[in-house]
Amino acid sequence: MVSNNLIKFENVFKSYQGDQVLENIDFEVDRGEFVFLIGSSGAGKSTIIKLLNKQETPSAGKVYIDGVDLSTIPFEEMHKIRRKIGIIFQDFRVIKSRNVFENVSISLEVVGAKESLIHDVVPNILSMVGLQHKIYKNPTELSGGEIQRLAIARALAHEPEIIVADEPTGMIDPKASGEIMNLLQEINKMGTTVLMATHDYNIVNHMKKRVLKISDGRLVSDKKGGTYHD
Amino acid sequence: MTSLKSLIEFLKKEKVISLSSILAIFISFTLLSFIFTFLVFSNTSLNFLQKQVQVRVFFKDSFDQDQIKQIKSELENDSKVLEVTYTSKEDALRIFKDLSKNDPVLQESLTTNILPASLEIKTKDVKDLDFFYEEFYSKDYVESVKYLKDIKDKFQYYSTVVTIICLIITLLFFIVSFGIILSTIRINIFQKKDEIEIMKLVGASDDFVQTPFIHQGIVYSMVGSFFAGLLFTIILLTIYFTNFLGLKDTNYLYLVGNFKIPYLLFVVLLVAVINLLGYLLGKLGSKTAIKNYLKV
Repeated sequence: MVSNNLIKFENVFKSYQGDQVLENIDFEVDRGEFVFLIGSSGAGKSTIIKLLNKQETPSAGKVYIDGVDLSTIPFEEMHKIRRKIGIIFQDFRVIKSRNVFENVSISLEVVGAKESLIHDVVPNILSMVGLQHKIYKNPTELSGGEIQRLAIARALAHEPEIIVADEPTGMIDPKASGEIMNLLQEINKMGTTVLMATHDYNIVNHMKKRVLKISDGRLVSDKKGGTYHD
Repeated sequence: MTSLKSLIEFLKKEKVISLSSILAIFISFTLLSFIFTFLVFSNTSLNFLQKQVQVRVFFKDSFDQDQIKQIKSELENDSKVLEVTYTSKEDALRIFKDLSKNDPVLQESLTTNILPASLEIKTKDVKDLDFFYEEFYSKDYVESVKYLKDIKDKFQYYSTVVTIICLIITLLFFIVSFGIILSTIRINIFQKKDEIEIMKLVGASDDFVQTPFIHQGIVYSMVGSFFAGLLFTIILLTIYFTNFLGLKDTNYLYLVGNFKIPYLLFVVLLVAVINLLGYLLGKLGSKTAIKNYLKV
């Protein structure tokens, strides 16, 4: 089923032991869009991202990915939805016991890609993020920016329809941040939908993309070509 | 993460845990093989003993030989009776002399007057022996009736008790072996907890995540069970070819009740069962171990 909007939140509520974290979140993201999800720390951005891949389930309301209501998908079938999404985690989540090549190849291994394809695709992706010369390095030998680029490479490897990035520039220096944003913009130009959570107003103001603002668990503004303080 | 790569990685990293697990499973399966063999040998002995159980009626010397033969032919017409053998006083003396041929003094002193004539009665069903025992016991022409019922009953009773104990021990060994597999695989899973979570989040199916761990469980369990099977093959074939228990002559073992199979087929069956149990235990243990880690 092909739906025009890849992501849809329909009156979503989320609470943890009585604490309301999200309240009546309602938005859609179309194919090919680049959307910022902004708000201060604890506003609920990460919860929205966790709801997207069913790491969390809504207390009320529905979340759709490519027209599929996630509440109808059992956990053991969620891998089919997750393969449509490439997630860049806030804390990188690279596997320290695997080298750079193996960290990226994991995304292809899980979708059952053949070894020959993996050996073709992974070096290309690593070139794209500028890590081709670190292919057999261990993540512990990489800088913060390089680890973040490795996380992006892993998210891109299986050519997902959506890239979801949770504060991808939160733990790196401004120069590395700029490189990451250029990379995400390139990916978006190739047709991949990007949803990026951030509280970096410089990036948001510079990019002039659609901005969804979350405050105290509520969606308080949704502006195309918006800025951080709109 | 291929199964083999992951297994080799874990074996290298956790040599002691891996070898201890395989050793513990080997011991469990060796004991299990012993119990299984013991039960089959015990059942075979019981069947053999049941076949030996008979009622032997010894007649008083005053009772006429023709009358005994008359009783014999009446018994032969009884549908419950399998076989009746008459042993005259002369036959009894001859048999006894044969048995005591190394004792010439005893042989000199023997005369036909000492040993009574007898009838040996075997029934189709062992339970019917009670009837014939009661039938002859009270007759005035009968000197005595010998019936090894007590021995048979006691053997059957102890055999049942031992079987129950063995089954309980078997169950305990299974629980222990299951626990060993579960713990070993859990250690490996725990070391790869983050990796499993990441794999799930990037779209790995449950099968993809759990297969290497299930293969590991099966390998551990089957290496243990294989060596236990091998050990018992050697033991059982040694018993057979040296004819240690006379089993090469009978060539059959009673598996359950009256169901008998050739001895060598039993060896094959034991090895097959042990390895199948090893496979099932490994699969079940590792599947249980990974279950909770798939809920991401």
